[in-house]
Amino acid sequence: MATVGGALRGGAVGYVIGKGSSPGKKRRGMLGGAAVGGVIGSKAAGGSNTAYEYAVALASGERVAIVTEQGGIDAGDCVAVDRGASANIRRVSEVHCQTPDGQPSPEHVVEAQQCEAAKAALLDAETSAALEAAVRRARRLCEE
Amino acid sequence: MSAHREMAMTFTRVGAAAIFARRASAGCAAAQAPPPKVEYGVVAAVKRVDVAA
Repeated sequence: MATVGGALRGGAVGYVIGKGSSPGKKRRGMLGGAAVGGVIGSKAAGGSNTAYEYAVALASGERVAIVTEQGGIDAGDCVAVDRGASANIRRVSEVHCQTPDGQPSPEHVVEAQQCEAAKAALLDAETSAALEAAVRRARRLCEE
Repeated sequence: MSAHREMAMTFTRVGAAAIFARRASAGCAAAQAPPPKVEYGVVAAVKRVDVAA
């Protein structure tokens, strides 16, 4: 159960590969991120060992890569990337990628805070039932 | 009140205080943590990553 628990936590938390990493660090980061996402698929959801790496060109000009178990986002999609203690990516309206100032909407800021709190709770879960409930809550708050 | 019972109550109070202190500390840590940074961007590429379990 410890392995599944770790996979559940890791898969839902997400991972960001920042700009400026050395190739070695970047590679290790990619593998680590892929691992947290991939294991959840096989152990918990009964699926394949698959994670997704999204390369995102931010409005600020920075380019980041985020690795997560979360699928359903395609190239060309406008997304909000949350970066705090954990990382998250979610598809948003195209309008946000056309706004010159790129300031996040208050709604998205609140969603990012709720998502981060849900992921923190996920890491603190101590029983299987609590962990599964925390994963459901994190998915609901972080992916929609 | 017996000495034994009084000692048990003291431990209970100390335990409760420790729990409250820990909760207060956790609350402060949560309050001080900076909010996540939200930025918009366009997905340039998506890559599936297969991982051996």
